[in-house]
Amino acid sequence: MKKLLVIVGVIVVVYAIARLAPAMYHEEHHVQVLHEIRAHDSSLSYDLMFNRLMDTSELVKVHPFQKGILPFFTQNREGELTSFPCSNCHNQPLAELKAKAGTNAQKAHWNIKLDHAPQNMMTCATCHADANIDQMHSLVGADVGFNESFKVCGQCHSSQYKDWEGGAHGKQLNGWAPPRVAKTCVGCHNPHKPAFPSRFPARYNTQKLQKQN
Amino acid sequence: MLIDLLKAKQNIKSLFGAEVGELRRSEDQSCGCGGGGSCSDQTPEQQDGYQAVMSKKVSRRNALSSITAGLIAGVGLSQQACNMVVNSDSAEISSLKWDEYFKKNYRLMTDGERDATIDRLQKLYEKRTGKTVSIEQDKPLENVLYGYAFNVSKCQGYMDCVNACVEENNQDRSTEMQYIRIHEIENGKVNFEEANDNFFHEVPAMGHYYMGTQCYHCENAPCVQACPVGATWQEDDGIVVVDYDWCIGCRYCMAACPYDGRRFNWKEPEIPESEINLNQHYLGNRPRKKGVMEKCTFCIQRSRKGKNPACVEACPTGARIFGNLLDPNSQIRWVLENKKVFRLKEELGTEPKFWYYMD
Repeated sequence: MKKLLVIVGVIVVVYAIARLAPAMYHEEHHVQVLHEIRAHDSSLSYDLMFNRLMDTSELVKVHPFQKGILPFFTQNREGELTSFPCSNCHNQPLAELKAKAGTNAQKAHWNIKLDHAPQNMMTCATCHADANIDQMHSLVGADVGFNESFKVCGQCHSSQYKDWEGGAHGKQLNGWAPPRVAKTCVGCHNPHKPAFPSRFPARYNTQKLQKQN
Repeated sequence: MLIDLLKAKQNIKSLFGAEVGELRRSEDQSCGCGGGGSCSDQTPEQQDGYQAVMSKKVSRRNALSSITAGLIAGVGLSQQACNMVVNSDSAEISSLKWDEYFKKNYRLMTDGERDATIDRLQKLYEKRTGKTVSIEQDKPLENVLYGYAFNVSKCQGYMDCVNACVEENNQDRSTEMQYIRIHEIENGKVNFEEANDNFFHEVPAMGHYYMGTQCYHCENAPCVQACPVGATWQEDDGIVVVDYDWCIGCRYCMAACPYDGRRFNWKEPEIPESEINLNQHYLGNRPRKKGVMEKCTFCIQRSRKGKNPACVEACPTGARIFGNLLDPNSQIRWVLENKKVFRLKEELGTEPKFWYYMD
């Protein structure tokens, strides 16, 4: 009889420990991050928390094409161009300039070599406008200002453009808290020669090499 | 002359009530153990501990020599404990260090104690180097849970992130401590055992891709559960932090972490004074000492102010994304919802807050 009671007592104790132990060791529930995220969707107001790290009054506002993405800011490209607008000095239409040039088709901007796509797919005129030299043009001929050059890039590079609107592509300049400021396409990619050259890494771990050798 | 001496001796005798060698007689005259009779009746052998000790005969020479020895020992002890020589600076430093040694775990301190320890640490640094350091205690922001995403297609192995992290977080230069590892892996594999994380050739190398690892600030962090003293915990905004002054250096957390996220200071860290980052956080990048753990803190001194961590800021390709998981309009949420994301060692159930994705 005594032995039976002892066995019952042991079972009760083990069961109690098994039930209570997770709570005692803070393992009440397995936290699923994504479930937690969805449960907490709430309106957040950051503006009151931080001083704006960047002055957005000079920046270009982007209104994404895709639904569900809030407008954000990008760099003011025209503000960085040294001689803009071009028509301040070059007030003759491009057609006249070309006529004057004659057989030398390219008399200006000869230091810009276009190394972006094969010749039969892309020329200067693909992006830059004929009549209006202060702007670029889209595939259907609409004017696109230099501040909105990303719209021109997005015509061919649509997946990268979609990623850029969402934030998965490109560099952010203003931290994680709103307002979001992203670099524009030409902020990283030279539109005339977009390929990035290879380079050496920024650091050389001498300690680790010593350990390896 | 002799008469004067004798008179002096008499006076001294009357002053002290007895000569040193006549203790026993005085015991007989005035017994100190209450109620007269009991101790004077007893012989020396029968008296109990106190009386036996006090009624022992001691010569004047022995008495003086033992008193002098005691005085010398006392002076030596007090010299050790507190600097009696006028040197207020070193006295203050010792006093600050004394207070620092006895402080509590950061989570258990009151706000007053926290401010006091910050004050002490700032003072100690100023006394040592003459520079003013600001150690902040920014609390977690409301409704914020930090998440991180890494674009495997974009990383080219530049390691700019590693440099920025080391400078921002005051890591030991002599052992080249780095929180971030960049692994160069052959195309077609995802085997970290065969990855090279110490390459030095032109990047990106053909036929290879690059992945960066660091502390993932897991929601079910095994390191937090493993710590025997509670020196590491997860803050409300999701950052797993270490209280460097509470850590005992047992490295259980290092063993528990499946991602090699934790680093240990095997020796006193050395940081050149010109490269120290003076914007510090108590739980973040303030300088550590020998024998404590440290790790990536998502640059707690930056992220709690709305800035990106140093690695995110430094990456030239934009391969690193950081943000608030609870904000439905944030970049990190867009990445998680629209890109093909995965995490490492998902089967362990650690719920890391660091996702990888491709273009």
